Amino acid sequence: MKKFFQKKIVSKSLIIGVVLIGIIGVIVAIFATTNQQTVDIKIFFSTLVFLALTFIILQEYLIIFPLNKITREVKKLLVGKKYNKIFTKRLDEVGILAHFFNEITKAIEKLSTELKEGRRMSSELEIASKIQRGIIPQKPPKIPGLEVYAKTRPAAEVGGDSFDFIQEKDNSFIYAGDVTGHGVPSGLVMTMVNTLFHTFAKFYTKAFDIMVRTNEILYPRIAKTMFMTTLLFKFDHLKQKMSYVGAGHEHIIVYRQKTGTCEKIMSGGVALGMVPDISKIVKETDIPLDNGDTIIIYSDGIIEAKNINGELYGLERFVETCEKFCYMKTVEDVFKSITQEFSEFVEDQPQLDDITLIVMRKVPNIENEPKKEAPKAAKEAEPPKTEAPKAAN
Amino acid sequence: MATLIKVTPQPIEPNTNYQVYTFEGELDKSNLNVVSEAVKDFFVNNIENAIFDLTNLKFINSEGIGYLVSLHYKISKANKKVYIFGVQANVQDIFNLIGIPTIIPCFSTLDEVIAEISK
Repeated sequence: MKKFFQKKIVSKSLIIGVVLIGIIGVIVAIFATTNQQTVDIKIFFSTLVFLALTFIILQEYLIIFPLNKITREVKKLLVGKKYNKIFTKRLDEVGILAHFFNEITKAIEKLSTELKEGRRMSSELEIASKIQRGIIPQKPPKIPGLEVYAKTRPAAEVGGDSFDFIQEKDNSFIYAGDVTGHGVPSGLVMTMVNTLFHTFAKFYTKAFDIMVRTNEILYPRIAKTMFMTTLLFKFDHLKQKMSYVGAGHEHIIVYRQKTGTCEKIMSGGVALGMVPDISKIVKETDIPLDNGDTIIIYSDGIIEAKNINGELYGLERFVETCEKFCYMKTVEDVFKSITQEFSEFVEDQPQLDDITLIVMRKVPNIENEPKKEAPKAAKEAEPPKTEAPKAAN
Repeated sequence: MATLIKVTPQPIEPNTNYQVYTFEGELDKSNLNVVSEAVKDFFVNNIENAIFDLTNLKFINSEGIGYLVSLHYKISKANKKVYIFGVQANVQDIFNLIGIPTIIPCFSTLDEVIAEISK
């Protein structure tokens, strides 16, 4: 390719022209020496030479020179050098070629810009994704009297689902949220709410106040098409009591260990960002829990997932799955079994929405249990081992 | 792939102050413009009440709900009102979860909406 462009079209044209004139010259010389030429023949051949020269000059000017110019620019384009647009008003083949070159280079420039922009956005998305991953806790905290296991899986680089654990003095706040859609806009709203929850948790002890104040700040700052469904739980370490405030989120599923069944509680309220004041709509409600009772919180990405046949996973199936595995020893086991069953249902279907699952279980509070007696005292209180069988007999 | 939604403005009956829009299909992010296009005349006419007939709305996702809420605010800003009726059970569940009835008045039938408007 490189060698081809190194050859000058002009040189070929000149060679042809010179050869043509040479042939004519030879013919003229033969005629001049062999026959006594008439004036007419001399004029004829002179005109022929003149026309040939004119043809060569015109060809050089009209075709070869513009073609060379196009070739030069194409060559620059191909080797990555800076090229120039070719300006011409011609409508013939050369004009078409020049126009074609200009259009091609314009398209390449556009593609190049888009590629650069794509790379920049991809890089920024990666940063946003990292920021979000930094916000969402990777490990559950240690809460006295409560075991927790939670994870979220975004459908895009940045997701709209979120959860977090906020520990303030004698209270732990646990929330799950789902912003409309997914991607960067949802991620930004999620980040705002996370920050507001953390901030208000420092000032208020009631989940109700945190939710209402967060909505007040959020509402005027987000698009009217966006909202965030949320469930905010408060676990009182001292009283070992759980309460919640619902803001338009999915159901709360509570597994009762005594009966081995699940109950569904509507979260109630209205999603954050929908109305300026939610203080008259939301309320804080207690959830009485016995040791072993398990609360499951999820996002709609789970129950709205479809399998290859277009069948919805659905709430009822999800509740059945929870009921099936909530007997398990640890919350991590429950979590993994539920997600495994869910994965088997959806198989390789693409994930269309963010997915979040939180499993919380009320467990005995070790800190409140009576302290064990000292080993020495225990030894004294213990009946002699040798005498015990006798006493039994 | 865009899901299908058809929003049809029904003829305005004489001496009434409402316009009924029937929704058929599924509403999500991909077809919000269809709703927008269908209701755009409502903002320039003299009718004060928009009634959305959701009897044949089979599915709505959170983005669709967000759009309906934003439409409600836009219409309220123009000193007009929005009512909803005939919501299917599965859609009603989502509406109830998110709290839509606390924002947009929802009714079972058109007659109930008309009775509410007449109050």
